[in-house]
Amino acid sequence: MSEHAVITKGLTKFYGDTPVVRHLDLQIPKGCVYGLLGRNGAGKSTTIKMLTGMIVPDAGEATLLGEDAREMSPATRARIAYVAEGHPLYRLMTINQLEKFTRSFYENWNTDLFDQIIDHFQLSRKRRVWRMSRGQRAQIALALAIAPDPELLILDDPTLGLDTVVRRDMLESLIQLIQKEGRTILFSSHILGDVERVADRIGIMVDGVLRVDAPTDHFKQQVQRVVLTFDKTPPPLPQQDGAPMYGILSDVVIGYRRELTIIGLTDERQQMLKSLNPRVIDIIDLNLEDAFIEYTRGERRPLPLLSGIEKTSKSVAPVTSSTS
Amino acid sequence: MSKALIIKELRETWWLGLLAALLLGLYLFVQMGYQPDVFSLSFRRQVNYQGRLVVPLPYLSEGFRDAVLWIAGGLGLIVGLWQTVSESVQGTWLFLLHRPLSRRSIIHSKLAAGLTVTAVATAIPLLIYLIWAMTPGTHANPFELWMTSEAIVACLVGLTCYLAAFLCGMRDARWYVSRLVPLVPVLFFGFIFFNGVPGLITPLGIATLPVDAILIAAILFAARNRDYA
Repeated sequence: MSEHAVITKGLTKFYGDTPVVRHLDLQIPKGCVYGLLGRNGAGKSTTIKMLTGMIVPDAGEATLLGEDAREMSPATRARIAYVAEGHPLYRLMTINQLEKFTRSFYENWNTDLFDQIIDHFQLSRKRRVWRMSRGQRAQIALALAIAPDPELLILDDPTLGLDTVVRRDMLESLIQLIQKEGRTILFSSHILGDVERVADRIGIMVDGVLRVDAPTDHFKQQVQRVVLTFDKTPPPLPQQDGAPMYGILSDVVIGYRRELTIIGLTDERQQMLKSLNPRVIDIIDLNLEDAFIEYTRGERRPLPLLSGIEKTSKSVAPVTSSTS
Repeated sequence: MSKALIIKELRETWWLGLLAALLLGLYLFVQMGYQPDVFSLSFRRQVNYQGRLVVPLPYLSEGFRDAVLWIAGGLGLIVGLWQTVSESVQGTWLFLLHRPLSRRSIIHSKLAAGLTVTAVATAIPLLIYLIWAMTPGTHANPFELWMTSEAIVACLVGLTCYLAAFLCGMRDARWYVSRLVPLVPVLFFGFIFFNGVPGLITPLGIATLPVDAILIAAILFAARNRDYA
């Protein structure tokens, strides 16, 4: 039996002529909490929908809990919970009706757990969904997803549009879930603070390409800001192997200072920067949000690929100018 | 098929069936010789200058089959679109299709509920009318069972309308381009029906059955292969 809950090989999707997801190779180990990040239109939701069989890929394959996502059997689907973006629920139903309807499809429906969550969020069972706030709908969607006791939980931007308190409540529910051994969670999110708190591994998609697939801490360690202060106008950056220095995500000159955001600040690169003879070199660690922003913002440009495979190596991840 | 899903679909569409049944019932009531009086909000019996009850020939009066087709076809179109477009608008395809049930079973359950509502809503008033027409002393017209054939064909075309509308809502296409293509056979049937081409009405009823089978196959194909983006 596979040790991975999710495996994709060369997963690709086009909308018209536009590639939305390109050659996605992803492996999520069982028990892992995986945060899928990316800006709007990066391909996160399309990826998740391909995983759940809602979108037909143009190429490649996806396997969930050992079964092809396109041909998933009802038994396997019962082991996977999926909360789609926007928490779609039947608006005319009450919570009681929703529970009754959803429960009828599952053999392992945990009524006590469902009741606990509904009581915890203080939701009125006779209230219809259309009369509820977005946050309350999110809470119901989460309760309905958890009650069948799934092995794999897929959440597409579960905290989108929720206020801070509801977000925190949902996050705590997620953490409780995570504590159950063996459960795998894949979620996409725009709230980097949430991801940092929950995910033990992240993937960052840029223009449909999975650019980063690494443990959360590893990614944060790899992206650093270097501030070089000079006594005069900063000189140009040194060349590396006859090309512009690798791994530079941003380069801003302000007066006598040059601020660089670098992915993979190796000893070699530090020496190269020292060769510019700055008066002071400050190396600043970034939090996940800052690291993500630096990694993904700006115009489309070649970005370094970062894979967690190299996490044990002292050298930085391979850097390439290829966009695919 | 899923009993829970069928119940859910019936709960969401029964009122459409009830409205159609009431509308058809009202029309049939008029056919039984009762004229609505909008001022007194009641019905009065239609009588001629001799004071005799005026009742049109059951099932074959002018405009009868057209009226039945409008109601049955209209109901079919609305129910078919309601069942599919409401899922798309609410985004609940993603919720529904992730239930541990094969996609085929989900669609079968929806179709079973939709066909039931469309068929029952038109059949019940027509059956009551049939009983009335067969009861001696209710009208002074000849009546035989074959006279109901055009109404039955109208109901069958109504079911085809339902399936075509369901396919329209199910397909992944643009409303202003190809989404309404499944309605082409319905328009064809309607053209023949409304023009009353002699000798073609009964074959038309038979022809709806293979068309229905093709539409169901197309619905299942679309449900399996479309993107629920």
